[in-house]
Amino acid sequence: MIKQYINEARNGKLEDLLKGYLKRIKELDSKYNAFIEVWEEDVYKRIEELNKNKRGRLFGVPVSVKDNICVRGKEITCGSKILKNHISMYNATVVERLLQQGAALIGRTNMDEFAMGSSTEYSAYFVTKNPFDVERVAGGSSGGSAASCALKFAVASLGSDTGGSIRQPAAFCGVYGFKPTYGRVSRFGLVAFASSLDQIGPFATSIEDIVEVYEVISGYDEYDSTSIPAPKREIKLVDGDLKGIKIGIIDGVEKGVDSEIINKYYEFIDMLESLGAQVINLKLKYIDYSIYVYYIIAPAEASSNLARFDGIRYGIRVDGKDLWETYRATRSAGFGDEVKRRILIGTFSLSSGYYDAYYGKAQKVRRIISDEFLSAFKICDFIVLPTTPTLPFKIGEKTMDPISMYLSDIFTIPLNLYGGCGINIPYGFVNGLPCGMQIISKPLNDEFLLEVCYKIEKSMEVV
Amino acid sequence: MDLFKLAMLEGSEVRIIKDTEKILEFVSRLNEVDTSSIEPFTHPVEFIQTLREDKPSEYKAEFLRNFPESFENYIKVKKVIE
Repeated sequence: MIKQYINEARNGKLEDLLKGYLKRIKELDSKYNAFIEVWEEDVYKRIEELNKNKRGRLFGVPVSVKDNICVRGKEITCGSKILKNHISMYNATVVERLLQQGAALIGRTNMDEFAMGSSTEYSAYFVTKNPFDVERVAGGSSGGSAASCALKFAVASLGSDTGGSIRQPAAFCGVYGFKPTYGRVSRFGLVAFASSLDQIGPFATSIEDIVEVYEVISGYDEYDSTSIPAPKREIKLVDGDLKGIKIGIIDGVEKGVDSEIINKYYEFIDMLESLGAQVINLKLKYIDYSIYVYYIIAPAEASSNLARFDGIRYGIRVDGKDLWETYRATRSAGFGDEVKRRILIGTFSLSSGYYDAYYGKAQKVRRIISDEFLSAFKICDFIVLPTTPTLPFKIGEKTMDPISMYLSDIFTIPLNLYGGCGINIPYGFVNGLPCGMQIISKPLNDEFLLEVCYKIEKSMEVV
Repeated sequence: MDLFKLAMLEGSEVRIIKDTEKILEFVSRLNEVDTSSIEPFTHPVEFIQTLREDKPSEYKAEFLRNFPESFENYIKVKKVIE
């Protein structure tokens, strides 16, 4: 879609196209709440700028951006009250790269507060509704980004993924959502949640569009000390079969998963086999421990990253009688319940006397799980899993029990632990609700993964 | 241990404490795994801390705009030194 869009934009349709997107958002977004803020005036200015210089791989393409990615001069709040009225002082590297290629940033999208959540129900603003059923969630934490893409409020969107926050909402909204290898996309300008797990990635409605955005935003950045200097390979999207491709499926994947999802999953595997892929059964003994590892490490890193929000330098300030009281009053008023829970878990896990038993233990089990996956990738190219254990759930269904919310991430978390690349492929509907399948691979295999997904996408179009 | 004080949060909201206790019990299943002689996983990539040039940035006005309370070019805060 991007290539066709750019063609029309370069042939005089830029203003009509972008005004069309703004009109659509105005007419429909009050029903879905994908956006926290739409940057209408900036879009008009951008049209003028772009009309003077028609260059750029993403010329005129409307892109929405999650509310935790810095855009200079625009408010950034990470879906939280604590950062109300904070204005970004610089562009994130990914934003800078989009702008250099002519993209038009259309607005910032709703998210779970500080990216902690799987439904946007933990946003301090509102819930983003599922584009296919407004009584259900759009997923999270990048729910607004996923929905904005599915609802055609943007051609592409940027989200972030720490334990599945791109892939899961992509599955719930019926769009592609790609988490690149850790270190492939700069985190400079992404408000940190868990620094060893976070990655920015694109949402789009086709693999071709995912590739266009990924190629622009990815690559070494000296501003991010975890950025990988290894060169990227050119991505060649070619139709074809999957002969020679080895797909791993994990024993015991059915546990705790809705039967409709399992049926679709086996249908997907059958389809891949019919395209020539060889299916290999894998026994991953420690994969079930991924969720416990994640819910120690992510909160621990978050408790450190969120220590800076203290009412002193930015965001809101709630005065106390002294400095300590000011910190406490500000953080208690500014953070929501889920953020507080995670800060408490994280602080406890890192505290003296408990560090070895919790954080230290989790780091070691992370090593075991990571090694298990890297060994698996010696005998297969990709592993296929459902993206989510359930179809999009109803608003309010999981908020009373935090652990039931955490269990939404059982299939997405392992990828973040070993730092590989992975994608949600929208795979039809069940009872009118989108269903997604996940393909994951070893670190730095992003190009091959996307090339294979293109073949799969084209095969599905033929059916 | 006063976790709330350590985490710089106020009060003793009972529900949050109960949730936290349940979650800590949930994650303690990690104890089932034998991790003797396993190296901890600390970083997904090998990296070297890159340093920037020691030059002041040009964003002063934008910094000032974001201070919750300011006085001239300073952030205003509660007394620090007794």
